[in-house]
Amino acid sequence: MESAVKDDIPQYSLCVQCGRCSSGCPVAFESEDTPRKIIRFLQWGWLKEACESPFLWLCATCQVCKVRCPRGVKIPEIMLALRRTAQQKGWVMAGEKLLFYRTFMEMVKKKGRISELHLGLAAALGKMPSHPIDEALLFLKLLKRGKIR
Amino acid sequence: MSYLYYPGCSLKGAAIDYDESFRAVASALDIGVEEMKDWECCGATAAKSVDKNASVSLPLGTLKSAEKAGKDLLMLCPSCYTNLMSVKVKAQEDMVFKETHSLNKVPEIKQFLEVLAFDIGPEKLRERIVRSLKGIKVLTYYGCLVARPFRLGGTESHERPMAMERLVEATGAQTVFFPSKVECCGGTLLISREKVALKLCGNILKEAKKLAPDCIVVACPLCHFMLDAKQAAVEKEIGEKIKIPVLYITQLLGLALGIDHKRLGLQRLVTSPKLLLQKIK
Repeated sequence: MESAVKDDIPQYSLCVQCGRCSSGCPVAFESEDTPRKIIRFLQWGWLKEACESPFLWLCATCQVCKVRCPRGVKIPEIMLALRRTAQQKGWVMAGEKLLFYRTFMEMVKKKGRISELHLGLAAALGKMPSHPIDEALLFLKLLKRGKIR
Repeated sequence: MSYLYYPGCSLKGAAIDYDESFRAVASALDIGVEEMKDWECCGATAAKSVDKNASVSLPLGTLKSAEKAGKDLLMLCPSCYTNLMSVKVKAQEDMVFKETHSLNKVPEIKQFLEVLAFDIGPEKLRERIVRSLKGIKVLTYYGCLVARPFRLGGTESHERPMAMERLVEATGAQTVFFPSKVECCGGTLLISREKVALKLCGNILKEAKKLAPDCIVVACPLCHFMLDAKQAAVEKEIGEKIKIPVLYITQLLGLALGIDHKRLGLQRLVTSPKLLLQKIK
């Protein structure tokens, strides 16, 4: 692994593969990979496999793994660093969330803040909502309650 | 007690009721609040995922403003709080970082929940209660970032925080141990993986329903959006009615402090709190 990449990904070598991270992970049920497996890939030097895992983009950065890890490995930070590495290397597999984050950052750069309304609309236009009528109704409710402006 | 208040994007949008109820409660408890002008977004999860420089420079800008104002920072959104705390910890641990960014005195950063639970405390709060919430059963839900990775008040357990319970009990209301109180609500996945998000939120609401509370209280805008605004979508997903009102901790405390419903933004809740409010009268 190149040193620039290695420097950006925090202390994965400390991991002893106990799997406590994965047992507490709220989204592991949705994925073939788990936090433990991603870290194993890194220990083996399989950077590409780690970067291509859809798990990176499923991670909710809920911090459960981090506070439970007996070795103090900063697992959410590893996932975030891998998201960035995957983009630099062109290894991104799941693009939907990435697109959302880029829209988000463009808005921040332009205005300093985000507008939930604009961000929500951008996300809604990016894909067909699963329940368009329900979502339109919720939109109206939020509008009426002054939660969207 | 006086703080520089950093609202963040949510508190000016979907969590406007959190902003309103926080101000009302702060004023009732004589906590001085000055809103930061020209604040910028904390970068949320987006900056950390696509732009490392921005993930540092955005929170750093806020820290510097607070340093300039000579005041400690107060925030309500735990996502903003986590991002700012991460940079603060970096500045404290990494002297090179601190010097390159010419930070001298790094300001304190607090969640409003911490001010309530630790600086004011349940004893003092009890003295200000004018409307007892006796007979009300409350579930406290923390979600992810309120209690981790940074400990609430620097001391609370990550797995079983009790700060909100102590505050709620000071109002006379009853709290029940909620096993799912630090589980993830799935909010951050709502846009990219809606099914997963609704499933995670459904697990929490199903557990909550078994305990038959009058309401759930939360301290995070995203948790509130999932549990309250998305409750109908969750019901559809899990095929089960829930119908539990979800209040911000500041809204519930505000009721006990005798603050008007409108000033607490209660009319903005999506899942109706009508039954709860009738019970409190």
